[in-house]
Amino acid sequence: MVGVIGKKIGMSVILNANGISIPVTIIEVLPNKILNIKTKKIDGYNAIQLTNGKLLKKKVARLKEFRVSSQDIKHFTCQDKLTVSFFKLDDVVKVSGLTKGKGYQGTIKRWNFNSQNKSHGNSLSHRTSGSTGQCQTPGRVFKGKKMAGRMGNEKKTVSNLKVIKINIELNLIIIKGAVPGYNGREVFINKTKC
Amino acid sequence: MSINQLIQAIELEQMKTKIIPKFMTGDTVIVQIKVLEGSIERLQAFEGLVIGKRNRGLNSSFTVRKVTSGIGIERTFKTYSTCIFSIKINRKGKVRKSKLYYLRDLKGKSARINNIS
Repeated sequence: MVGVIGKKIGMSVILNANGISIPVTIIEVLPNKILNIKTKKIDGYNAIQLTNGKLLKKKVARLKEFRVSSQDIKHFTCQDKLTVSFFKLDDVVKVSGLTKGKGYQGTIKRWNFNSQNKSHGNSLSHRTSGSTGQCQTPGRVFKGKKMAGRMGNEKKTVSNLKVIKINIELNLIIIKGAVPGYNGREVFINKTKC
Repeated sequence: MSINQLIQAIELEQMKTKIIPKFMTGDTVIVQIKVLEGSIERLQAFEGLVIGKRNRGLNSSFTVRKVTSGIGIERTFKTYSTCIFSIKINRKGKVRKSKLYYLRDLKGKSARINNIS
């Protein structure tokens, strides 16, 4: 599954010929350079290593590895550039990235717990999580218990997104639907079929 | 280009394809809408008073109000929608507000709007 490194620009709308407005996400994909090709013989698996355009003197700004099947690896050569034209119209893609960080959140927002009564004698426990377990047996809280804590800023993948438009001059891909992360954040666009 | 400029460039591209006449709140317009019936496309006219405009680039819209046999009908159109075939200004109105929602409570003579002479 080969992909490229992109930057989420933001959401907009596309009005198509039938008068339907399609919600879209605009993603900027600067030419991605292939820095290294890993093969099964040497490395034990097939993959390509990409960088998103910006190359510092000795250090690479961002390196991302995509696993490729042994048949598809022949299509790629080192120092090649993957651009927006790597995608075609109506391609189905997967987009993954880090979600927006929400900070320290309670159980209601983080795990969709129900809130308790606002009145009827409720005292200071409107949005608390309630019981976290039983009594002396087992005498502890089970591991993985859903509680309050840091929310967001984790990797999420959205699949079955359709490529609606490609702008080669501005290096933009326009995809139907929403994509994780805030505007300007790095996202990875994966082709489901090579 | 910055993030906002890139979004604007994409939206401007779509806005360029349509020529919208300059109409204001208080004007009487005829909006011709493309309607698909089965496989045949025909035009449907909606004539009325513009009681509000929302200027948001590609997401702009405007509301047209007409009164048919005593019942007020309002329809909101997306200005740049491909459904809209044409917008024709019938009459220029003289109004002092940008949103004419007060017309909803008025009837008959008081619901009239003066022409720009």
